Amino acid sequence: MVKGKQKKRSRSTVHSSRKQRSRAPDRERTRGKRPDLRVEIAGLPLKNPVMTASGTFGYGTEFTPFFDLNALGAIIVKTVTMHPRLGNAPPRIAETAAGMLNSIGLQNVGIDGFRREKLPFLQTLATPLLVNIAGKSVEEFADLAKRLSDAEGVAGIELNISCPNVAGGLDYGTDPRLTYEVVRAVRQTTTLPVIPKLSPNVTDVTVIARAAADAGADALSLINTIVGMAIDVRTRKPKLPGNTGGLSGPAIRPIAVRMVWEVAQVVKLPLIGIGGIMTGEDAIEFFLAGASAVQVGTANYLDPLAPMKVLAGIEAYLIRHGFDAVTPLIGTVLPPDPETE
Amino acid sequence: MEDRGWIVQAEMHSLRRFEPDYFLQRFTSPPLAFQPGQFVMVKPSGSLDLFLPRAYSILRVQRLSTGSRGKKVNVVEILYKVLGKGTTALSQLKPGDRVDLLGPLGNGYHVTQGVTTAILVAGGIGVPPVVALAERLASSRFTVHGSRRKSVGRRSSDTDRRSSDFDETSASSVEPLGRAVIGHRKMVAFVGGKSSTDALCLTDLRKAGAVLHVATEDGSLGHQGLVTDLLESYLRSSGHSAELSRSLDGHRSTIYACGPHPMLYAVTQIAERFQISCQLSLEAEMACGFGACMGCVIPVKSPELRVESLGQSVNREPSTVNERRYKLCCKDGPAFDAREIAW
Repeated sequence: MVKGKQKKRSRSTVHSSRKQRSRAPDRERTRGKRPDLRVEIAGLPLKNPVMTASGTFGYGTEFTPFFDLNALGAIIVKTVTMHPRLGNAPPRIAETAAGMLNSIGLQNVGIDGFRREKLPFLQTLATPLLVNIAGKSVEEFADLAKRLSDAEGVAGIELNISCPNVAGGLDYGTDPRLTYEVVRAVRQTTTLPVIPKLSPNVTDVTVIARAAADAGADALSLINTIVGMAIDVRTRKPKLPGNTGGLSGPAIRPIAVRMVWEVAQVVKLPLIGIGGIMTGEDAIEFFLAGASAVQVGTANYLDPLAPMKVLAGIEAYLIRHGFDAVTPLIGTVLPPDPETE
Repeated sequence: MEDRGWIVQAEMHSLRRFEPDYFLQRFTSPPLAFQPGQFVMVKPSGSLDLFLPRAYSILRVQRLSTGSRGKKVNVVEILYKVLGKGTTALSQLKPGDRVDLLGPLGNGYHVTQGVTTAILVAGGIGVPPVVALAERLASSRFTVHGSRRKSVGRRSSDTDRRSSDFDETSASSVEPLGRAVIGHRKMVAFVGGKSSTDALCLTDLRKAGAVLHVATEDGSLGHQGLVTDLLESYLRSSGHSAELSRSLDGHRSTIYACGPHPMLYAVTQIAERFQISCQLSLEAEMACGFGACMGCVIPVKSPELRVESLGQSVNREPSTVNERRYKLCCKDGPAFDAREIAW
């Protein structure tokens, strides 16, 4: 990944002008003091802005050998549906350049299994738990939300209205009317924070974002995977048996950053940026574009310590650039340099 | 169950090519404790085009002297055939090149007490876990309960593997464990390949004390035909039968196999015919290797069929429920009881 001169130049511009505008303390005063990483999302105070993206973090236990889960800002677990789901037939994974296609098909233990088998461990954590849910109908979404509202240890609900790998999975995230209905139904069912996860598989993501906001969403997560396809040229068959899958990884990051930036212009809700975040600087891009927090997804597969490395990278950036907190960065991307003659 | 792994920013130590396109590759690592059949995820550090790490069965872990100064390094060895992007990239590394290496991962072969003949079956590039098992059995240092823990560097407390039947350290560095030692009295290995160059690790298996049977499809080495033909005629001639296995409660022999899918299927059928317990090391496309991505599912017949003691359930019919189930190759396997696989 070659970083062009242009990019380096604009970074240093950000640095110097931030200093002027928010009068960030100079290095003398911040030396030895760690930056304040706290952010607030949908009324939830988080000790740092790094979360794990649904579907890439299992139910948490898969990562306990590697690091203390309480070091995360929040945990988002694999999508839970009303009934257990077997998931799609293998192969479910296809590597692509700087990314991968997946077609897992929402394999999960179902809401009852989740509450019985998975939740007890998650309840032992101090880190807020956001549960990602997917319903087949507006009523089912609301019912799932209700069952989670009763459960102890659930801090919020993320709505998967954007899964590309199950029949009808994208419907609620690509039609603003349906987005509105499902968010409103969940909103009316629960007092927990409601965070719809938006799909990039739309012409104008701001339309969907507005619908979700109008329906009472507390925050928005974006983006889910992009529908993609890979073909094995030796067999001349699709690499995934369902033809298509969801593309994730650094390959989609520019799309995600763009969509966060677009939504940040029209919606005043806190945004959670997702899409190919591998390093702290990747996360910083999302903050500048307007996200208040980020989710680390596919990177977890390559390196189970990825969320911790992203967190350390964010802190290092803040120190290096003289910021004493993460919040002053949010949404402060500067206008491009004027074109020179 | 309790997968314990760690990330190593490892370096390539050495690479040796076996014509036509097999490579034995060593990476420097902390002392790595592993069960035969466990694997590591490896990819060159920093590559984005080659995005996902690949799973490689651990062939061997050892301590080597390097250079004239006699400095010792720990290495983990893998053996692979160059088939695609991942293996091509690894085969082009130079000594000192950095790799991301995570492991050991998964559940290896489960060696039960009372088994007197270990029947090893390897097809082509499926040979590494089988050799790892042969060498471990040869060292006769596996215990029933794995009660002794070895210090393995600073992560020692993280490496006690609950289900381990083995003393987990490499063959060169541990004293025998004394009383708890059990062993296969006999080790028979069947190695198959398309041609003589595809029948690998024969010397290693022989050194480990295995009686060797080799089959090649073109007849360039050993028996001309399939390795499973050799397996079947061996079982018949050595007096194995379903009746005998039943009377011995299935404890007489166990087959441990790894290789291409059709071979594993044939081995499973043979094992069933002779009522011999059989474990297969499987592979599947995986992104993470530790249960997070849920990509590497293996269709299985019933969740209960994998039993603690292989002997107890020999006569139990696998449930033929229509309900399909999946297990994760990386976390539930990669070694599975052959009877639980839904082919």
